Amino acid sequence: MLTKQEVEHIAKLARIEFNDTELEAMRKDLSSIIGYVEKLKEIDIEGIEPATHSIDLKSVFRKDKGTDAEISQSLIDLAPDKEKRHIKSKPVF
Amino acid sequence: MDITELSIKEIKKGFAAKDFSAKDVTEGFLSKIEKEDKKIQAFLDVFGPEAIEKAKKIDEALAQRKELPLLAGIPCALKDNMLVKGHPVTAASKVLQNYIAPYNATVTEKLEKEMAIILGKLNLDEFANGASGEYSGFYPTKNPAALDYVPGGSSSGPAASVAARMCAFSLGSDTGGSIRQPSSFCGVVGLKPTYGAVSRYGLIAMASSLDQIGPIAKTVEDAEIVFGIIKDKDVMDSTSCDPKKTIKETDPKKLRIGIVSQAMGEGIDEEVKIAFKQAIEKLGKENIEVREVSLPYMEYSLACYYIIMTAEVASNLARYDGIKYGKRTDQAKDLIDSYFKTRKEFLGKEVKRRIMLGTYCLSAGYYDAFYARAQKVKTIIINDFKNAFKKVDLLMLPTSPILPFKFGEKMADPLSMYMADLLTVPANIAGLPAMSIPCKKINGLPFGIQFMAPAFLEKKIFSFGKFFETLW
Repeated sequence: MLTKQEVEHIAKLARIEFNDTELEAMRKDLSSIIGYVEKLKEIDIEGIEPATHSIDLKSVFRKDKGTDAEISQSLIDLAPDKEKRHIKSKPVF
Repeated sequence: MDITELSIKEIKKGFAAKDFSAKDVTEGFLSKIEKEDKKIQAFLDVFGPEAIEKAKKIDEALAQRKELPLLAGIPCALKDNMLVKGHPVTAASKVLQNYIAPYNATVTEKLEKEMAIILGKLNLDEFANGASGEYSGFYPTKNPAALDYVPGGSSSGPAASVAARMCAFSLGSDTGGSIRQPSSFCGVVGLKPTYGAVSRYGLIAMASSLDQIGPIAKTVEDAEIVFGIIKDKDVMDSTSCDPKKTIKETDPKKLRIGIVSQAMGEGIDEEVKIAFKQAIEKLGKENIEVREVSLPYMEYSLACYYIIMTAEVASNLARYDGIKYGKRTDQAKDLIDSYFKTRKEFLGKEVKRRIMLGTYCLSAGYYDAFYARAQKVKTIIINDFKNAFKKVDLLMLPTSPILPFKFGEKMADPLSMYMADLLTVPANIAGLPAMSIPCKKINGLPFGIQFMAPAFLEKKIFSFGKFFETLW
């Protein structure tokens, strides 16, 4: 079982706020799922290369040339708070 | 004649013979939506007037006897995690409720170039995280075959809308079974193509190394036609590729079918086992070569999947912080508090659970034990399939280990919901194409069998699938 402190630490890393009831439910769920995925420890992985993608992919290169997608203004318009061409947020401190 | 029952080729023939116009067809489907969707709730958004305008243009072109593209005038709908410029796209999450797509997904571009008529956007489990449709941030879609049963997920809307004949075909996305499992639950055909066969540009990312867009349709032939249109290499998706692997038209009766011994054991419902055995017997009567193959590591796919997938979900969904787009909390005192509260308020329960699990698997001290190990197991599973395909052309297994279940049945225990993915995740881990095809119903509930092929050999599945669906 995960401890309450461990779940709080993960929640902090994930930037999600939980109340105590939610934290306890999360602790129970995560512990049971982690218990299941630990099944992978049964497999001998000595000398096996990790797979990032399932098919053989070649790196794709192109010239580093900008194109105008003509959507920059509509992207800024989607921000919840803005001023002219700047996105506003709450103060850092 | 009910227009909504026709296949793509039949609709095209009807246009040519002037049996009906494109407007008739579009209106036929729209009135079906009007009538049926109040109870099924497959759609999140319907583009009614826009669709009729497009249909009228196609009728004008038809009147001038212009050569039109393959999908011209065919009404379809998209899972609401694919972008259609100028329309809302939410991934069924409250955090994106006010988001308007600023550009088109590549699949949208391809459908528009084909003059297909997009009728609207379809419901899903939030950010495609779920196996029942119950985790939509808005409302759950019902199973058209039995309204108190779930339609499966995460492509709940795409499968239910085709099953209820509210569109001729739909596009879903499949990360661990999200096209095939709801197709099985709703009694329609669903294809997860080879990883990379279809561009993911403009698909809201869930787990990037596993996500793939594919068609859901009434018949294998329709799914094949749509796949032919949407597949391609795309400069906007560096993982997309078109290996142009060509194989000769194969006689379906000469294909060797492999039955996976591990897919008949623990965790599979008795009713599913019986139905699956009946399907094998049917193939035997048709003199199809069916042999048992062993994939000793397949059973580890699910554990492997729930590490890799959640790790990628945690990374991909980090962007929903309320700064650049989407909803932002008005309760925060400073920047970091605004991240915590925005994500608390606007992300759903299952999404939070997966972000938490993925964050744990990637956190300091656990990375090697979980994520790095899962990637190595992935290599072992890929090799397992490579070996199996030395002996057979296609693998056949039940799409889902369980039949459709009732609403609420699996909400209390997330692990039991995850088990629903048992037989679909191996195709995503190994990147292989797999298609679910409906068989005979069990106790009135749809049931599908899936066929898997080596990478980029979808053609073998189509060839055998067209034969297989005639057996029912």
